[in-house]
Amino acid sequence: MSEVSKVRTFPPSKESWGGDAAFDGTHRKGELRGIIKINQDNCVGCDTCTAFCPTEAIKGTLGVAHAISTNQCVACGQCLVNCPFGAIEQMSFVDIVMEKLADPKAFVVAHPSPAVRVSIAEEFGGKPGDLTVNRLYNAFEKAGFHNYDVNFAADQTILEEGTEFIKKVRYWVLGERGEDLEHVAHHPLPHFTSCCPAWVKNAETFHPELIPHISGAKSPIQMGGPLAKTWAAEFVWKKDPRDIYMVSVTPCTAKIFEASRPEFNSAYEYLKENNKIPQDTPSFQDIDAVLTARDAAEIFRRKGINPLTLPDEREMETMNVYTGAATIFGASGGVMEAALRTAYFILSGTELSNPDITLVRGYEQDIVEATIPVPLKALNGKVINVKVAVVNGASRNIKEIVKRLTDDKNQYHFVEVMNCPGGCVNGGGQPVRTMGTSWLHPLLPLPLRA
Amino acid sequence: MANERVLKFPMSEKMFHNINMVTWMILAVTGMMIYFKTVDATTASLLMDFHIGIAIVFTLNFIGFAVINADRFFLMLRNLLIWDADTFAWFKNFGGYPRRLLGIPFGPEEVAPQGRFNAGQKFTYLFFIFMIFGLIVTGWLLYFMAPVLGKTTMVYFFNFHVWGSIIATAMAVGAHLPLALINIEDFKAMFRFGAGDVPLEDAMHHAPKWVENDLVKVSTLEQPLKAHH
Repeated sequence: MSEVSKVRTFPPSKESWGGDAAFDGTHRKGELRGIIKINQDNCVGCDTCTAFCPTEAIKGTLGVAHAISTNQCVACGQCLVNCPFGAIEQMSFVDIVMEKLADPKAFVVAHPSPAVRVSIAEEFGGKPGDLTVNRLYNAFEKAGFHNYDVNFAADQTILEEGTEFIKKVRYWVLGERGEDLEHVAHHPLPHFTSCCPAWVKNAETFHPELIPHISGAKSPIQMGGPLAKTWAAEFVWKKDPRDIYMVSVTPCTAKIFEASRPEFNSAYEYLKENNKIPQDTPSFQDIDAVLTARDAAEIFRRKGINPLTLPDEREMETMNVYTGAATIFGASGGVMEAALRTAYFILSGTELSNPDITLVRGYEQDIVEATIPVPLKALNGKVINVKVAVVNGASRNIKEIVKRLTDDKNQYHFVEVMNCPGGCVNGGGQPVRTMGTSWLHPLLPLPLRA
Repeated sequence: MANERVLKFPMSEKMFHNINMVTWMILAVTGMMIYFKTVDATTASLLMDFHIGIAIVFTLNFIGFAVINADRFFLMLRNLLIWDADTFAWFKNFGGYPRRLLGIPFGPEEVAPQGRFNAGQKFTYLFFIFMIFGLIVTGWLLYFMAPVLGKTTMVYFFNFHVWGSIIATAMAVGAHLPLALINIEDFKAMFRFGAGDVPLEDAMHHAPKWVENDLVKVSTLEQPLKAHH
């Protein structure tokens, strides 16, 4: 009863990246589509999945096998983890990554997100929440990967995103003008987070009016990819960037889509522009492949590795250094808390006496609201009340937050949106438990509880 | 005594049984057509709408019988739930049916005297009542509360609803119906228009303890009997 379910997967096909047309529905050339698929033979039409879909992408009536509209799907995978019958399948790059691991020329880098370290144990009989930081690194190394923790890049993200928010406050709240603020002139408050790829795709497709509000900072994984292929390739690993094969390991199926976005080849553009690679080098993505936590477990199983049996010790490496702010990205409210810590420090000139901004934490409310008083150094300590909201799960709450902002666009300064309830820890790529959340759970006999 | 009759199925029971039978079979057929994907998606969708509409009648029929005719409902439950030594003794030869119908000399020749329902009927009807209740509960929970049931609960409920109904339908068609046809007086009492009575002689043969312990003579039934003969 408490074991994890087997999720069926399928490899990407040639058609998965689309044809030669610049646009095909809501997808651009090269963007992966059909990442989440309902197996028509296994679907009984129970209709559970539709309640979890944030974009009403699932079509079908009760009793009839359902299907996903590729144009509406944001690939969040919430339908998959909540399907009682295991009828929903995920595109997987396991076979492709296994081939790369067998290639002696390839320098394959595992780029694990913080939510994976607390979930991978479940795939090997551990308890939910078992922390496996060093055991996970050791497992990746044993499987032939090099390690580069996403947390390292998450710290970069928060510096970018926090700084961007501060500039917006200076421009839109304090009325400052200057060359360094010009680029935020067309990006008004409220400031929306950008690290959830399902949310970004959702906004692009269904709420384009919000695009100017969304942070221009890339997600941690998409900052990690270019950093790995430029800075780390040259100064840490001393490798030809063309040989580096970046594999992000995530709790998220929407990251599979995000990695295929055509603009996410910054390393290639930078390296070519600076003549660090030959000009005729074909374009490559910053992230070459995405594995979900389940996929990573499958690779370990194929290689006979059980992370839970490996040592929990390891020497600190350059690529695995990070702060606590990066780690909390994986939970709802985490990005907001991390950004507020940075914003508070820069705007007020002092560190928070207690960095735990618990007001924005929690996953029991659909939308968490808080007001954070920030004394402004530039105005001799005058306090502004920074109004923030954390959207905890997109399926019900995005429409609500849009409605609130339509009613009063000054209602918030900063909004975090996580597609999945609870944040990345509850992502569509995490191990799938058989029970799932249920109000009946406490009523079940103990052996039946997950 | 030859013309004396006893009321076996009052109108409330006949109405409940017959509405239940018709709606059950419609629900079973539509449900199986949908589950086994024997029709295209559009037809399946229409069938599901029909299934849910009929399920409303099925549910109200059960609730109506249990609430409006609570005395009859509880009397029936009482008759089904009283299991004395003779009830258990019935299983020694399964009421003599294997010997009588199939020529298999199973158990003693003499059948233990039974009440209004024999042991096989008690077992089967309790199962049917449990299934009716269970199918109503699981059906509406699956319809209204699927996303919050929890996945394992959902699968349990779904399998109960699908496979439980298939097993119960098989029992109804494969056992209940043929045995009802064998007990033709019961069959006629259930399906004829008018009173659901059976000959006293027949009742004394099949349910001697019922006749002896439970029945009260209310009239000689001379007039009503003319309607049946």
